Formats: sequence, structure tokens, C-alpha cells
Amino acid sequence: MTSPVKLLIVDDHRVFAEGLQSVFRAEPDFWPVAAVSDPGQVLGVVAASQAVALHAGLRPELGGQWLPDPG
Amino acid sequence: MRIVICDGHRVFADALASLLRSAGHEVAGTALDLDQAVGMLAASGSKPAEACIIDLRQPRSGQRRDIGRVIADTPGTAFVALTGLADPASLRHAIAAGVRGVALKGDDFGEFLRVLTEAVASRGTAAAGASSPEAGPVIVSSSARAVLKRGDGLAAGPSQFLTEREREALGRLVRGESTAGMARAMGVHVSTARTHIDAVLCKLGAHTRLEAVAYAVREGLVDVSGWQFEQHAAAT
Repeated sequence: MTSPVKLLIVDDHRVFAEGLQSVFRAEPDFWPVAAVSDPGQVLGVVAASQAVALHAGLRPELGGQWLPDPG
Repeated sequence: MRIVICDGHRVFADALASLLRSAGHEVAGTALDLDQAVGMLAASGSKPAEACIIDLRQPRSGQRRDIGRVIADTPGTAFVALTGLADPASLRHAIAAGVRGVALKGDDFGEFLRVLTEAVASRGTAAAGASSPEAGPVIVSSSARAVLKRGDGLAAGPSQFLTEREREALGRLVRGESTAGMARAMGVHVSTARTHIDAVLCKLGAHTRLEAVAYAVREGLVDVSGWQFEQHAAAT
């Protein structure tokens, strides 16, 4: 049995980020470790948790341009 | 609380529904546009939804459905706007349409839940809809309030920076007074009156006195109705 994928959810819409976290909590294959809206928190949380950052959406003016756009 | 969600983004609607359910609420349905939401609200029958959460951007509905009409036709349900549109005009439009609560998608869920809960309670005090005198206040999240406040500043425009004396000088300009006449009437030296006028032009961004007068009349900074009436009365 594989361990669940650790997810860090990043979106400047806080309600959306928290909602996605709630959705993924119900999925046994995923472990949403956190939901953040502040891009400054992303690197720290990823480093601490080894989570995959799910870049749901950040507006460039909020500093999210350094995250690769999933397209 | 029984809730209908109306948002054009399916993933967002599902995410919000998950959060609301985890907070103990019943999500009666998630609609992608107002048409679907109206259908869901009508189908509620004996168990009407107490709240309908709507995104102000309704790309699928376009202009076909007026949010204000939908709200007026559904008096038993409190409509709460949850939007990514952080501009004062959109929020004001929603409030004018009769929503009982306004929050931004950038709010955290706890703040949104507060707005939703208080909006439903506020609707409970409104016997005959949002325009009723008994209607409670519209509940606004702290970030939405900041957006509306910013809008107030913009609406006030550059005239908000005029001093009382500068406003008086502007009023006298509108009445066509000369600098000397204005100085006499205001009890100041001509050079002081000229300073007031220069300050008015500078603050309003006007290049000429005529431009400042046109701005004042257009923006309603000076009440010229009485003056117009007197001139009309004098001519007849």
C-alpha cells in the first residue's frame, strides 16, 4: 500500500484553498498538509513537510509568479 | 442551515460545499448559474433553502437573469455574495440588488461563515424583503468593507481635499465673482483670494477657472439650483 500524496494547496482565494483542503481530506490517496494564500509561506511549508505544492492559482501581483504555471 | 451554492466554477462550488458540510450545514445543491439556482430554490418546496451563496460573476447567465429580480422573487432565502471581484462597484451593485451579506473569496472560511450566519439571522428580521424598513443591516466581511471604504474615497474624488475656504472660493467662482469681488466678500486681501483659487485649481486638477467651475457643477460640489432660480425669477 502506497502512502498518501502530501499536498500543499496554494491559492490567493482563501475560501477556495480551504475548500480544496476539505475535499482532499476525504480522499485516502491524498494528505492535504496545509492550505496557504501567502506565497511567502510556500517554500517553508514544502521544505518542512515534503509536500507537493498544488498551485491552484496565485495572481502575479501577489508574488506567485515564481511558481511554475501548471498551464 | 440549508444552502444552495451558485458559482460558475464547479471545483470551487464543490470545495465550498465540502467546507459547509464539514461545518454541519446541508448543501441542497450546487448550481453553475442563476437559472439552475432558481430551479433548485423553487424545487426546495416545503424545505426552502435559508441561504443562497452567489458569485457575482455569472458568465453562463450573462445578462439574461437579473440578480435583484431573483432575490425579490425568493424572499425566504438570504442571498450572500461570495466573489473574487474586489471592486467597490460590483459590491455596491450586489448590495443594491438586495444581498444580505457580502464576502470575498480571499476571506478565510471562518470569516465567511460569520457573514453567512449573520446574514441569515439578519434576513430573519426582514419581514418583507431587503427594502423593508425592518430589514437588518447587510453583513459585510472585513475585507469587503475595506474594498467598499476604498470606493468611498474614490467616489469622493479630489474635492475631498478642499478646505472650507477653498470650497467657498469655488462657490464664488461658480457664481461668476471676480477675484476682487471675492476678496471683498470673504474679507481677505486679493492675493489671498487668488491663493485660494490657485489651490482649488491645483486640487481639482483644473487648468483654468472655467474648468474648475465645470467640474464643480458636474460633480454637484456647489448647489447652483437656487442661483439659477433667482436669475430666472429676476428675468421674468
